[in-house]
Amino acid sequence: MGKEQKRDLTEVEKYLIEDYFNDKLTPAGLQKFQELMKSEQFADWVDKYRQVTLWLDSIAEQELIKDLEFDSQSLDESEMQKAFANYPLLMKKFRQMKQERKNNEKKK
Amino acid sequence: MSHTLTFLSHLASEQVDKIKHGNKVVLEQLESFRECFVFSHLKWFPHCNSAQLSDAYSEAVIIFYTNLQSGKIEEMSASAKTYVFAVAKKLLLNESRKEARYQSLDIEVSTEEQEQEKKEKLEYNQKEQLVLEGLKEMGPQARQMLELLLIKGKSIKEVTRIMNYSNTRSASTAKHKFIIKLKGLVAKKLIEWERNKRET
Repeated sequence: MGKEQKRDLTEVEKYLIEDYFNDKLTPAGLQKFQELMKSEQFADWVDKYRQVTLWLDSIAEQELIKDLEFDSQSLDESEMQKAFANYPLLMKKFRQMKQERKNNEKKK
Repeated sequence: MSHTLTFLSHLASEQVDKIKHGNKVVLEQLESFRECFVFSHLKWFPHCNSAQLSDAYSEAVIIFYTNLQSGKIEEMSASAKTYVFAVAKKLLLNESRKEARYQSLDIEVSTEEQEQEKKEKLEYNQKEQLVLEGLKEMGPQARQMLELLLIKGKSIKEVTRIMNYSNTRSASTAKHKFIIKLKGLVAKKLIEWERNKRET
């Protein structure tokens, strides 16, 4: 199969991409979107839109995400274990994060 | 569900205190949003599977909770859900950047690392340019707010004061609306850029 010729996105395709990422597609729209995704060029547009809007979201939300450091030092581990006791996924992740922190400190 | 969202919509400082003192209601609510996060973000992170998204969500909840406990967060201008979703998304973005770097290091250490840095810088500049061009086409109020938030790095609280919004909630609602508009303009700009690239 030959390479697709470069072309512009149509207005309909542009809105399909936006609606897809905003969870606004109807079942028929979704079917159309999935059909279009078979085209390499359309999939490329989708990926570009995804990357730029993700980046835009991350700047728009920067005040919420300014502090991503997990401060294990100041925490009472037994308190944390009590808090996460009913949530096995949180408990497992908490232990993993603690372990990673310990390993990193050993390396230093 | 609506009362849940209302409850979570804006945590006042006394509610933050409640969580600090062991009230687990918010933790329960956040746990109930896990599936929603995973399902709605598979399309945003197509290279991740459900387990990886769920793992990032756990990490974000832990960061949120521990930051509350340690006093790093005293007051919040967004809901706990918004905060946790934003943190989880950022963690996933950081992870994909790290992976891209790691893959390049596999081939050749120094040059590949430099190339990756150059590529990242170029991509960053292109994204920045797209956003700036999109901003130019927005109305004055939207442009002022987004410039304050995205370029000058002001908090929503500061924007509320500068732009005379009655409270942070109405400023946040406006911000949400303007960001959606900007995304549409960015998509339009992307098309123009691609066309110009082809024509030159």
